[in-house]
Amino acid sequence: MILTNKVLCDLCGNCVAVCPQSCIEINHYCLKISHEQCIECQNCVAVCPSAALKQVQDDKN
Amino acid sequence: MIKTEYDIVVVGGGPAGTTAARHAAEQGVSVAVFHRNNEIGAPVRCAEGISRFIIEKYLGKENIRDSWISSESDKCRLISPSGKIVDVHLKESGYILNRRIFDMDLADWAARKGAQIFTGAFVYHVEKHETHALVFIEQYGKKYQVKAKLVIAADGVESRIARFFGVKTQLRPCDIDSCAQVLATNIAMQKDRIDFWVSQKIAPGGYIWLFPKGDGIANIGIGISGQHNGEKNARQYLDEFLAVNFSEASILTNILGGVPVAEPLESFVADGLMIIGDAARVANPVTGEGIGPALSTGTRAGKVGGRAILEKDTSAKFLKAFEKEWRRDSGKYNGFFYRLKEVILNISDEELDRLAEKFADRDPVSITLTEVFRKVVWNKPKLLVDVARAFAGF
Ligand SMILES: Cc1cc2nc3c(=O)[nH]c(=O)nc-3n(C[C@H](O)[C@H](O)[C@H](O)COP(=O)(O)OP(=O)(O)OC[C@H]3O[C@@H](n4cnc5c(N)ncnc54)[C@H](O)[C@@H]3O)c2cc1C
Repeated sequence: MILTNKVLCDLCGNCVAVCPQSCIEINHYCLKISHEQCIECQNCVAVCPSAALKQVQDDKN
Repeated sequence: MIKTEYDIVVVGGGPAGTTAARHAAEQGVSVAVFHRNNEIGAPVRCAEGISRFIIEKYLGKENIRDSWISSESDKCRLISPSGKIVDVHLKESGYILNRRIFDMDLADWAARKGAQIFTGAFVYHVEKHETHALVFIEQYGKKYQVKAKLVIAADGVESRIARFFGVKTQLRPCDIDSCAQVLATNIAMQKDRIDFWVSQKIAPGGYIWLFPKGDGIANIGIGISGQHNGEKNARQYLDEFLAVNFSEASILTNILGGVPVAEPLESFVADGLMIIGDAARVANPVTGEGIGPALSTGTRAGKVGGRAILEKDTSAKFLKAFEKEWRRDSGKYNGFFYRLKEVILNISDEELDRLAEKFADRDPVSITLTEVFRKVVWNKPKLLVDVARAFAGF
């Protein structure tokens, strides 16, 4: 699962730009990832300028 | 008040969106601009540089206000990995804007021409129908549904709106620059010179810039290729650079951002849709300049979009006119700059130093950017010709 660190996130939108699933949106001042659609390709992690996004082991697994 | 119907809905209140809105509204059609942030023009995710020629071309010399301009530069310094300096005098001077005021004035201008601007208004969905689109908006907890004959997607680097029309706008990580920037004061610098540090070590696949905003105050930022932004990210690279080079600086603003350094979208239109500015991936892939392209696409889209409403034809075929004109005029070098980017990305620090060496002891007035880039691509004959053409104005 991809998790967001709200302290580091500046809502710049890079992750939205590269998400092949279009499952990230910036709703006003809040970054939202729709985990059901996420395929964990990590494009978003790669382009984040401040490591605000991180992949962690899903609880379910 | 948000109405239930507009001829044109513009998503995004950056320079592309408000410029398009103004040109459309001038033709007497109804236009609404929905902007997600609570304030137009902030935060400033931009180094604010623009060529004088471009801003005058699209906004008119007589309309340019002093309050938009922080400083003017006609010199450019390139600093190689080992600190060798190449000074270049630019033929055409550039402005460093004050985008907080600039963006706000462009929106104000559009509003005075009849467009309605809504801030804090997030477009979360668009539904395409045969003759119109339904635009879904959330503003301060309230939801609205607006009918539009034409949607103009000016939603910046994210470019999500066009996807609701089936246009694929997603970027590959190698086609986006990951950026961090500060507005810093107590900086030792020259007020009329922009500086660039190029080095794979301090800014892999990109560079660091210093754009003067006034005496001792500057935008200092970094853009690195998304593919190199890994173990260490843009913010960390910038922090390290500042610690070494400007340890006495005070940081007044901190921002992160992204520049699409891609080829423009294959198509900027679909039935009932126009895509402009960063959303259309029209920024210059080498320099990252996107304000000019936002104005050039916005101007043309607003004019053609307004006409489409008046002539009751919002088909992709009709709207395409704006894109064709843009590609013929402003966008003719984007493809070349993209190929140049690929070359620049792979230059080693040793080679950069060797290149800088070639300009040692030369008078800056005699050095042009054309010459610098010619030396960069000397072993790529195909690009050589393009360099001469594309940098002709510098
Ligand atoms: C660090 C950095 C430095 C730069 N330096 C320069 C420079 O020196 N010179 C230059 O020319 N260019 C520069 N650029 C690029 C320039 O900032 C952009 O190209 C320019 O702002 C693009 O204008 P735009 O109108 O297309 O998009 P933006 O200015 O990005 O405006 C789009 C707006 O749409 C809003 N939006 C997005 N989605 C929605 C939605 N669903 N609903 C409502 N609103 C939405 C966003 O909040 C955003 O404010 C730089 C960029 C960065 C990141």
